[in-house]
Amino acid sequence: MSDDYIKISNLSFTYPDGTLALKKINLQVAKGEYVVVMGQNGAGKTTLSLFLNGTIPNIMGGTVDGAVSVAGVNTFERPVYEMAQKVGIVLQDPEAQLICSDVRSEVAFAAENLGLPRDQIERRLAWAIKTVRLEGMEDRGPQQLSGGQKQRLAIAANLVMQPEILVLDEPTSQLDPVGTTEVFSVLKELNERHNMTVVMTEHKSEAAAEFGDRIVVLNNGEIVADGDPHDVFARVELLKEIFVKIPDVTMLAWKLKNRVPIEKYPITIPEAHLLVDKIAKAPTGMKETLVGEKQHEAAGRRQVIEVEDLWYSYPGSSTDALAAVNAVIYDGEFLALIGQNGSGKTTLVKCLLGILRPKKGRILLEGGDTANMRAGELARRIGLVLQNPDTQLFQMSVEEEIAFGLHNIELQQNQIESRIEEALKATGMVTRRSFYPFRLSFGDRRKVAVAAIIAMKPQILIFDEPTTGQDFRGRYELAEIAKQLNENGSTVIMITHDMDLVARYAQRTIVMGMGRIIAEGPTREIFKQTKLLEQTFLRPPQITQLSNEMAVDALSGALSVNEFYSSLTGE
Amino acid sequence: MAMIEYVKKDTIIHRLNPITKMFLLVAFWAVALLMFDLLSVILIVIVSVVLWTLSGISISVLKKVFALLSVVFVVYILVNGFMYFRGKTPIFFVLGHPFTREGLLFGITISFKVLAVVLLVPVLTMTTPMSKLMAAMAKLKVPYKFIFTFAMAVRLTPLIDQVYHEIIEAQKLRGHDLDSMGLIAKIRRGYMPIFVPLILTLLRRSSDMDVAIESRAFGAPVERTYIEQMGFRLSDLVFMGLTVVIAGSILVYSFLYGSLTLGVLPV
Repeated sequence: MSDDYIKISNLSFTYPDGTLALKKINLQVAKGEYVVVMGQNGAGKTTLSLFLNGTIPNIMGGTVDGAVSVAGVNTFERPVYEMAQKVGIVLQDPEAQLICSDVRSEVAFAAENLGLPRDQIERRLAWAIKTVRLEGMEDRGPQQLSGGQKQRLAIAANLVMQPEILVLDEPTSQLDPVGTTEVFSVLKELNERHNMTVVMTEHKSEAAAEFGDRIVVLNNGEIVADGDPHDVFARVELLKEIFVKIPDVTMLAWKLKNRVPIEKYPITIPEAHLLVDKIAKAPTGMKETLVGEKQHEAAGRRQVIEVEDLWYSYPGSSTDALAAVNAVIYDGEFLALIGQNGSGKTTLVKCLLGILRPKKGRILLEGGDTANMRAGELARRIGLVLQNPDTQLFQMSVEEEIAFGLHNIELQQNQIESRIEEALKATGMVTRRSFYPFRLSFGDRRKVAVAAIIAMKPQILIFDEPTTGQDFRGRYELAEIAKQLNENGSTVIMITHDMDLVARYAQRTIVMGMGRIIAEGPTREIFKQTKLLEQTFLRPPQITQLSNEMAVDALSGALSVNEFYSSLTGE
Repeated sequence: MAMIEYVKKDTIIHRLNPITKMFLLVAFWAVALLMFDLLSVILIVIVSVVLWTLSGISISVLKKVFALLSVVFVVYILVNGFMYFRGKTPIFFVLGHPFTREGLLFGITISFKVLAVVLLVPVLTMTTPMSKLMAAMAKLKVPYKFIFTFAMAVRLTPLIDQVYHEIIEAQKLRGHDLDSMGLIAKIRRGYMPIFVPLILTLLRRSSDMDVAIESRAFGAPVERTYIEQMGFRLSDLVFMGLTVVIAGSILVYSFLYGSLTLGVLPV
């Protein structure tokens, strides 16, 4: 096959509601290529993915112009079941694409639909399950699988049709770091060993840099950059403007470009070493301190929450979800709570909120034992912003949505109105106050959920995984709201897998693993402990990793590109 | 939803051909529904308990179902005790209303009928993986569209249940606590904040599911393969035989000694 194994020519698409999703797209992909499509939410990535197996226009309609051919076949004219044998597709939400009751039937489903002979299905089934490393789990139901396992199962369910192309739409955006690593490594193997063509949409630039042969950047339905990752990421000004994350090391090189000649911009850590090791002769040490660091020390360290020897295990489970947890949360701090799924983060928070009653130990909120407080009272003092706003939104307008909680806690009408205004302002939703929440974008729905919680004015705010399903811009918008609230005096706890976010905002970090607290301290100190983080599959931001690997001690522990740059250059 | 979810085990009931289990289910259901005779209905309940024991599944998984049913049974017995139209032998009076012996018996019989019907379902569903059940239905020439709908419904039940509980917890965080509301408050404003997000969430998911299903060659115009194979073994024949004998005997007994009319026990 030649370079035009996938050939998209002059493709434009408008959804029935009038959204122009793609504008005159031209793209050719060669067999065996690993293409990563990047861009903000709403840039057209999903629409493009759905074109590749003919879901659009065959299942989802709209106004189409142009042509798409895959392996010489016009996707517009062939039914999806036929295209499915050439192009497999994996979606974002792990839950929504599992349609059978166990792993074995899930994988067999497509092959059975195709009416293949039984022994052939059995052979392919065994191969697909082995390739995604789910051997021994054939009888498990979706409920018994982790997020990473579910996404690998979705891959296997496509592999059974032996497609030559796999299209993945943000396959890891809802996974924890372990799950993400699992999925990426399976894809890499498929690409390298089986010459599978991979087209994947993704926000994680470091992963795109590591795995992709080629990066395509979409913005507003148009391709604005396309090429080798080194060249694409070097277009710093363009990417900044359209909110695509630039890998830390590329950013660093861009800042250094006036000091040293740069032929090829680095995108990975080993590449960056070639560049910075030359300059790092006369380090001057950290100059810039983390925004909150000083403020934090001055905060007086009054304790708002004390957790004393907390134990919890879920009914019917023999392992401890929390074991001997001791922790202190200080007034006015910005704390990150990190660790894998199942490490006990959520259980701890549920105990704080009184949703779960600990088996042993106690939690003091400003000196008072929370066991003696009702869940309602706790909810008023500790606000939790959940991952999925859709479990909460039900009103006809953003305003009513915010008012709901305020009515529940029986505030006066004039008080309710002033709080709505405040919450709208804090989340930047003033102009959308009368919008129907269901119709808002995911990022905005999250902001509504945040507004609804902060209007209740809790003293402590907990954000559960603020980056799930968000693009580069969205993840910082929510964190910025949190930072603002923190500066106005709220204590903020952020549960997250996003280490960039931790580095940028959290003054202090608690690391959990297996129901225990395995490390606690200022974020900078925590991120220096690379070994310990590795055990929990967490990797500090690329720039921190690079700085920790530097031979000169004064260069280690940088939390941002600017920090590293200034200690490197003395500026 | 524990009542329908498959429990993996290796017992004689698990190994039976699903068609045998379906036959068994339908036969005893029919008898349970036809008979208004207390003894026959109790017999069916005993048969289902025996099947439960053989399947090695602890009957305690039905705890919630039993709790719910016991409320229903009390209502049946009370309503029939006071209102049964054939009631003539009063046992006691409440405000001048007689609670009759016939009504009591009828209420108990109806309760046992419901119990028998409910107890039999898991004997099929909890011992048969969905894939085998689907293959068996296909053997019985059930159209695939129907089989698939049925399978999806079973797959979605635990998912809906999970989302439902997530939503209840999520609304608690906004001071909306369903558990602490009175009945009237619950009906007036308790459920809207729960059901609206539930329906919207499922709506959003369903369009993703649609893509997933279609892109796995659903609806390809070929004869579908079922990888699950099943033959009839000796044990299948034995169980089918026993079913015919037991169900048949109950029927015969009822015709001869009991009554097919709404008569309850021969008094």
